[in-house]
Amino acid sequence: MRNPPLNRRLLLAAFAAIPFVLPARAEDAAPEQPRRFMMEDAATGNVVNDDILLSKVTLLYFGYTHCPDICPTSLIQMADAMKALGGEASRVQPIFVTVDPARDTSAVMKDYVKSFDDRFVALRGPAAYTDAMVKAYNAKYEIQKPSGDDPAIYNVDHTASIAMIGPDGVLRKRFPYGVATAEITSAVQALLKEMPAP
Amino acid sequence: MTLTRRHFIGGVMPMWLAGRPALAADSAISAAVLAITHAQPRSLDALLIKSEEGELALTALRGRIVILNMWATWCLPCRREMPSLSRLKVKLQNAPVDILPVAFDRRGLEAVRGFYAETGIANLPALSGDAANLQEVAPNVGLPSTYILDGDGRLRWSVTGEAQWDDEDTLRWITALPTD
Repeated sequence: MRNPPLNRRLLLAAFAAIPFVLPARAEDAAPEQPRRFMMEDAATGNVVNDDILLSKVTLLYFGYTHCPDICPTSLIQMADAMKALGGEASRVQPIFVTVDPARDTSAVMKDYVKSFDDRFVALRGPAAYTDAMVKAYNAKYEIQKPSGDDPAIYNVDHTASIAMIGPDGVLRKRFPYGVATAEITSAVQALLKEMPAP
Repeated sequence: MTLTRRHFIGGVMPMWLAGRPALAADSAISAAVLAITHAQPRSLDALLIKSEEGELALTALRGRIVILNMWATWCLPCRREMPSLSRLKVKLQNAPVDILPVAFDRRGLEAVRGFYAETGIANLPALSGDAANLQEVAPNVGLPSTYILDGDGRLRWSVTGEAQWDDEDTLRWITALPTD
C-alpha cells in the first residue's frame, strides 16, 4: 500500500498529538460520595484520611506557599470567614493542601498557615498522594519550568476555587476565586444549621 | 467492503458525530470553579487563527478580555460545551470580552460553519487553528481547553475540559477580570 504523502502524515500526526480531555466528574449528575484521600497533617506528622472531614464543615483549598497572590487572597478569605463565624467556627475546619510538596515541608506549611489563622489544618503528601487527592476533587495543578537559573524558583498553576465539604464528607459547593467572603460565611452558616446541635 | 481508517476518519466518524445531538452541558461544572490560575503569565500571540476575513491577530484585541476556546467538531465534550459559550456571549453583550472558539478540524472553517448551522449558533465567530502551531504555542494542550487572556494578551486563567460557561459564578468571574 502506498504511504500517504508526508504533509498529510504530518497533519494526521499533529491532530493525533491533541488529546481529548476527559470531562470532569459531573457533580450534579450522580449522588455525591465522599472523596478519598490520605495525607500528612503538617502540624502533627500524623497520617490522616478523609475521615477528618466528618462531623465538621470544611473549607478546603489547594495551593502552595510560594504562590504570589491568589493563594494568600483565598486563605485570607477563609480566615476572615472563620472570624465572621464567631463561636460557630468551632464546628468549621479550614484546610490548606499543598500542590508543591517538594518545597512545602511540614515546617514550612505549619508556619505558613498559622500566619492566616491558628485553626488552619495544613496537609501535604508525596506527589502520588497529592495527585490522587487533587484528582479526587476535580482540581488540577501543573508545576512550571523555572524561569531563571535556580531550579528551586518556579510557579505552580493550580485550581483556585475553595471547596465546601459537609459533615458527611461530601462536597457541597465550590466557591470560585473572587467570591465575596460574606457569601462563603453565609453558605457555611446554612450548612451548619443542617447539622445537629453539638 | 472493508472499513479502512481513511473511511472512518473521512466519512463514518463525522457522520456519526453529526447525527449525535450537541448535548446540553448543564451537568458540567462551572468554569469559574474549575479555573486554573497562572502565576507566570505568558503570551499566546504566536497562535495562528484563521477567520472568514483572513488571519486574526490576538494583538488586535488588547484592552479586552479574550476567552480562547480550543475545540474540534469531532470532540464530543467540545460540542457539548459550545452552546453554553454562545449563551455567555449573549450575557456579555456589552462587556469588553471576546469569545473566540478556535477549531482544530481537517475541514477547517467549513466544519465550524456546519456545526454552527446544526446547533443554531449564530453569535460566535467561525475560526480555525493549526494543530502543529498549537502544539508549539501551548504544548500538551487537550481539547477542549479554554484560555483567558487579560487586556495585555497574557494568559491569566485556563479551564481544562468541558465546563459550564453561562452560570452565575462564571459570569461574575469573567466580568470582574481587569482589562488593564
